[in-house]
Amino acid sequence: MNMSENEQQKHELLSAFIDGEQSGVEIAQVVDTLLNEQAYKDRYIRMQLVNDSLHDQIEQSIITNKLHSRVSSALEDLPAHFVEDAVLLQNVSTNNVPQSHWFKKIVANKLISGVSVAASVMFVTLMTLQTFNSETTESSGSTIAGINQQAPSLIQAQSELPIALAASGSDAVANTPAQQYQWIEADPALSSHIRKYINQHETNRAVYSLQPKVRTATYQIQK
Amino acid sequence: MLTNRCANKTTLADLGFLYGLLSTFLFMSFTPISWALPESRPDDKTANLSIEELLQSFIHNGSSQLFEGTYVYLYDDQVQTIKVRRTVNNDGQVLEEFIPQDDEQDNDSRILSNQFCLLDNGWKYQFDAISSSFPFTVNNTFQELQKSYDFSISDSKTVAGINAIGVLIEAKDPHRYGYHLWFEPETATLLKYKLVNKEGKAIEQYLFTDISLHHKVGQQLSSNPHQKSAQPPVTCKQRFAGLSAAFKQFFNAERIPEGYQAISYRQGLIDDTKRHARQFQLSDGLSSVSVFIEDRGEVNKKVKGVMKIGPMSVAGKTVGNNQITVIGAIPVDSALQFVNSIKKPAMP
Repeated sequence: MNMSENEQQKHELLSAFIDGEQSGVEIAQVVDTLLNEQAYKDRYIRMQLVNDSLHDQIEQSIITNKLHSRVSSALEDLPAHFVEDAVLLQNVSTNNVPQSHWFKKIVANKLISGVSVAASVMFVTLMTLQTFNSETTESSGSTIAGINQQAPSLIQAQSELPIALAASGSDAVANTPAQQYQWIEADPALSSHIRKYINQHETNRAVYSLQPKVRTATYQIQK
Repeated sequence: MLTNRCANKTTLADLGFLYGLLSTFLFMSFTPISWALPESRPDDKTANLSIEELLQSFIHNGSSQLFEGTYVYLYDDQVQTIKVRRTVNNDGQVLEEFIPQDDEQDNDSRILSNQFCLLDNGWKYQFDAISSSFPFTVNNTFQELQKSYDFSISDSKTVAGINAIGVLIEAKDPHRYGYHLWFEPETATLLKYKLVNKEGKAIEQYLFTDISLHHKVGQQLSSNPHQKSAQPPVTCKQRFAGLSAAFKQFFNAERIPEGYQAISYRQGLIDDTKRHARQFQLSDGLSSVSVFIEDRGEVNKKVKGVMKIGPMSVAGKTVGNNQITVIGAIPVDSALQFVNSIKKPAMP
């Protein structure tokens, strides 16, 4: 068997592995290769992402055509991030103000308009971005102005904020002054601090704590 | 506050008791949802199982089923592979060992113990057993779970070479995520687990790539003379002492997301730090959240706002002299709602 045939066979095994169609020796073979070959592992990750993204696109087209729903679902699984001014939101919300109101209030004052993005985040969002941009152009081009290649973080930012904020953001964007949001690397000490809480949480609920090694980034408003 | 009925080790008697009690509760309260298996039937024995019977079997067998296998954890662009092995140790306990294959994590192990208490805080019971190698536990009756989730059977799927039964658990509101699970049909061993958002998108997933199911612990224990636990029993009164009073002291109950109840409370150290905290665990029966309350003077690094690490949402703020930190695999806005449910201290 020459090299290309061998690669082809490995590729087919990997496809079957992702689809859960293997058993016995074949699975062991794939797992062994995953553990020993970084390139194979990288390919596996890419295939898994594409597989999930395709699945998600189908799911989304069935479920809804609403823009904010697409935005909201775009990146629930993004790496860690931080909305620094959320504490300010908290202070408002504790005054017996319904959440939908205080989120609108915040949106009126704080506009998500521009961001920079980390490469790894861009990679994860690539497929969703295409869908989002086409939808924006057709239905709400003036709603979220200035979307460009920096858009993935904007999508993530809105998707990770409560839905009331994401949904109401479109009305506020055109009428309020811009305020910059930016991705920055998270404080490692803060990340370490959080992981101790997570360990304790997992211990208390009696599960094996397997924390993903996601890059920790913070999401911050530029003053 | 509670009825003191607790077992801290897995024994035949315990399992029998638990099964009997669970059966009573489950059968008394369940509204059967019968399902017909898809054309490709996983197993004739399960052809007429209801979802609640499947979950009941999962709860009953989960901590006693012995196996050896490999599973992968998938999150974002991360893949981690773990070998897992369940055996019976000399004390007659089920020992679960984790051997990470491809990263710097150390080997780990745990004793599968059944902690079971009857509470009177509106829940019939709190079941804290380890039913799966994955982070999925069932903490309430099916009737209660149905208030927050819709259950349905999905297509069967080959997982680790086994034709597995799929169960889709969809959240009824935005306060929690859903689940897509695949079970081995005869023992109800959980083979694949997906935590999914409201659009059905996977947030994280675990799946076995290979698994060999062995005898259940009861079958092995019959020939094992060492059945006595060396560990001192932990009573329910010790474990849940002060839960109700402490919850009332710190929480505005009407502000926590619907369906969640406080199910455990402790005062102690956080992980390996020297910081002392109160820790509440709240659950809707499937999803679980920890709320940490600490003296803010002892916390040098405070969470102020919201944050995500993997599937975990984290929210924090300072209330009076307390630093509040909420952790859970829940949507961000739910984490914020938990933070906002903490009472402001009364003015002196």
